[in-house]
Amino acid sequence: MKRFALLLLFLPAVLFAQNDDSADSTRDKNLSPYFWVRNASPGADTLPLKSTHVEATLAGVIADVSVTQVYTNTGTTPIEAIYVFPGSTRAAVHGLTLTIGERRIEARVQERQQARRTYEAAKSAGKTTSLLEQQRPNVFQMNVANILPGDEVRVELRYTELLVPTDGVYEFVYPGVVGPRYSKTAAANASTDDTWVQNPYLPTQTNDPTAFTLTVNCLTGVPLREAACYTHRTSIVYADPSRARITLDPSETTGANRDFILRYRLTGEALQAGLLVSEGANENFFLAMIQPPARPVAATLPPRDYLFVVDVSGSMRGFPLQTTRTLLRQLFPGLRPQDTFNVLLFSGDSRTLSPRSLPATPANLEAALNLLSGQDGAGGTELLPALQAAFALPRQENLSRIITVITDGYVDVEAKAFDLVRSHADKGNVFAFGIGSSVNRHLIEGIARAGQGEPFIVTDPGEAETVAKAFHNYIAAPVLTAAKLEITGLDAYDIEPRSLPDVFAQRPVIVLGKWRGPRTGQLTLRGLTGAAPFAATLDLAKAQSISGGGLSHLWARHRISQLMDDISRESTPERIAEVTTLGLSYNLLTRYTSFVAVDEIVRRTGANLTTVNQPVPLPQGVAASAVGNSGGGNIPTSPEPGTFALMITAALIILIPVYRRHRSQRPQA
Amino acid sequence: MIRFFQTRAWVALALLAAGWPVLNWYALRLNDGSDEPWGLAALAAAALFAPWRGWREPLSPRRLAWLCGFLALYVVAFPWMPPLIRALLLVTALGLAASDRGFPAAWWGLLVLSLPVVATLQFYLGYPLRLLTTQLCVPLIALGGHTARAVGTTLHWAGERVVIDAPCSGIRMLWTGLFFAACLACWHRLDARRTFTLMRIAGLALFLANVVRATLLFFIETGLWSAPSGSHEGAGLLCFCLAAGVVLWIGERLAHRPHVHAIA
Repeated sequence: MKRFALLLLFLPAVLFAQNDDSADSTRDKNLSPYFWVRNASPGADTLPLKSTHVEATLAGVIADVSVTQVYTNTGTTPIEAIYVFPGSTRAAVHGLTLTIGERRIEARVQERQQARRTYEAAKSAGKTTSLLEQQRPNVFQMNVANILPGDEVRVELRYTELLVPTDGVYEFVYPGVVGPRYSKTAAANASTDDTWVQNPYLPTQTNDPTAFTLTVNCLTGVPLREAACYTHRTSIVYADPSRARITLDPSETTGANRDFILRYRLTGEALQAGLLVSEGANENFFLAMIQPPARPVAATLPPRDYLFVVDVSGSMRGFPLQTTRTLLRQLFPGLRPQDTFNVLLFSGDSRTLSPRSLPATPANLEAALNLLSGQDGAGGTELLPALQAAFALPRQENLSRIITVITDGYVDVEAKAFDLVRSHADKGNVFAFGIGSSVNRHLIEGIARAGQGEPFIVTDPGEAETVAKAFHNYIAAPVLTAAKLEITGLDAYDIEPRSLPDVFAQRPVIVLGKWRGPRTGQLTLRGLTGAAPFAATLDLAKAQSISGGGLSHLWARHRISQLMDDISRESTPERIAEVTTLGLSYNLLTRYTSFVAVDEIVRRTGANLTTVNQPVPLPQGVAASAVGNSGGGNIPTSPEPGTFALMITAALIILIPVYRRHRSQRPQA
Repeated sequence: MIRFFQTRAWVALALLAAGWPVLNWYALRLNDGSDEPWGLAALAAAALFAPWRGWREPLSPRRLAWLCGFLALYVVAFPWMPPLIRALLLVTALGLAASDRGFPAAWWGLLVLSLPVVATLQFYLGYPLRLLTTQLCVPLIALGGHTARAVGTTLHWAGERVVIDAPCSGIRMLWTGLFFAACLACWHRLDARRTFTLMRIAGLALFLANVVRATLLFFIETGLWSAPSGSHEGAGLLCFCLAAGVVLWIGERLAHRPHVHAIA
């Protein structure tokens, strides 16, 4: 009996071990998205974002967009709402306004850490405050603290972006939702910039309760044609041939679960602008859009070695993988028997069709399609090892290699991927295909830029044929090579980009810059189209003048993009300081500057404030398996009880014979 | 003096001193978070049930010869054996030193369970157990009137899937159940043969309990049975109780058979 009494004394030690175990489980946990659990925080409104309204004005080549988010607290305790949402990869976010009742507070841009401190101080003081941070160039995080029960808080952010037509088609994209990212970063070691990856997602059977409305005003100055939205049901009303108002159909109740894409052309293939200028008190800006030459006809295309790097992870299950198969079926007929090719599939690990590239014969291409047909989409998204494996694959001597990466891009290692691609620039041109309704465009565009290729986005299987054709055209004959800009008669400086890449697509070459002195001189784009020289000149005297800060924002945004590319290669304090200065000077949201707005009235006096992470819907077509190891997916498991509970049970059971023995040893009455 | 160096206490101390790399590894493993630290509970139980009597008695030459053999094996194996195997050799040597009459299997079992074995068991034994569990769930589900299909470690039924993943392997139940059985064997002072009999039966009962548990949870997860929250834990504990009850009953039957050798 004494021995068992002693054994029971060890239970506190067992309890200690249990606590230690829970600490370990936190330490070992990776950043990963998870499914939202209803009533997880009693008393708090766990769905505070009630609506999002987007108002975009497309004037010429510049889009001005305002996004209004309305937060309401229908719970009984004050809350802090955190909402992760996507943005255009080209957006220059330059304003934020917080409205509480009648009070309207314009946000200030501050250095990121300082803005966070301002926000935390206001939050602790009980003031309603909002903070907008950039987590990735296309992922933003809104924090709104001290939303009291019954409050309605409106937050409006404003951004500008450049619309660059490809093959004469203008495209306005408003991304609806951030897809679930695969991450291997340990939660305990993650930087605050990465914790957004732990974002809650609405379970697949739960409808998104957030209302989503969108209006686009097209003011092109030239009659529009073929204006259409293929992603959402919309209504288009023309005030006159060059002014249209596009609104989302009320039946689009789940419209925020995918990218909104509007495409249009202008009558006569006229390109908006050639040269735009904006003259300010301190600085003058210009934007040159130079039409490239017609695509040359390739006389003899040398043989190529194609390597297709295909994502078959859990987030690609279903529609994205099906679209990938369709895309490859369209791409393969463009390969000739003298070309060689290989396929590398990746998820948690990677495997190839063949150790070496194979001739692009019908039999080998069929074998590749069969390999892909056997994939259901499962596992993680180990993009970096897959890219390393791709670059390490042997290739045919004297053949230039075209690497095409096909993925939805749901990873959090964008900067590392860009660096990896850039550091293997000698291994071939890299083209990136984004497949899905809410692709991570930052990754797709960044990989293509780093690999000196082109990005493609395929949102549905119907686009596969067009995209495959464009890909073959790009490969067959680049539009312009050895491009360079000559500026004469103008004191221009701070030109963006610093060097012009080869032009694959039929798309204007964009140059932004500043100038001093009189507005005179010429900008000439020179290069080679096929083997022939090409030159196009724009005269500054004929430039169209525009008002407002649009050009300055666009220039700063381009400069920041270039600097961020440099930082991903090598992060130096000088480069970070330059980005910070640009953000502060031009009032822009960057990785190192944030917007913060504080209502100076102290509204919360109690101690309790519940932080609520606004859950977002899964992108359309993305399977629940994309939400990693949350356990909230569609595949239930049957975990056994915890060791602590088992030990307690065992201890209780062992008391039975102890009690019986004790009773049998008692003297009989 | 020579007599002192032949006592079991001295031999045990010498073994522990010789095995300091194992002790060092054990301490590191306890703190590195790679395994659950429940081995401490088994270590505490081993201390409680240690065959304390007779530590001043000298070991017989025959037992000393055995020990020397084990130590030689330990020394030879040291450079190339995984640390867990080294630790197993050391605790076996301790078991041999602890008694001159028979082998204290139950106490040795507690020492073995005190080692960080759960993660290793999960790695090597987890998948086969899950595979077997999945296969055996199918006939049990059929008893409930439903036809499920086992694909690897996943149960498919009417378009639904329930996966028997690593946390469902039953390794935790197995470890806790064997710990329970070892404590029971120590309590009843079972000899080595009966201890191993009890351990074998305990292992089988716990495995079958896990199959029943997984079957119950299949019915709950697929919605065939509606169950309140917490039913996962409840079903698991109920199955464990049944298995532990079987172990308790068998342990008592073995204890009441004649010719039970005392180990302490």
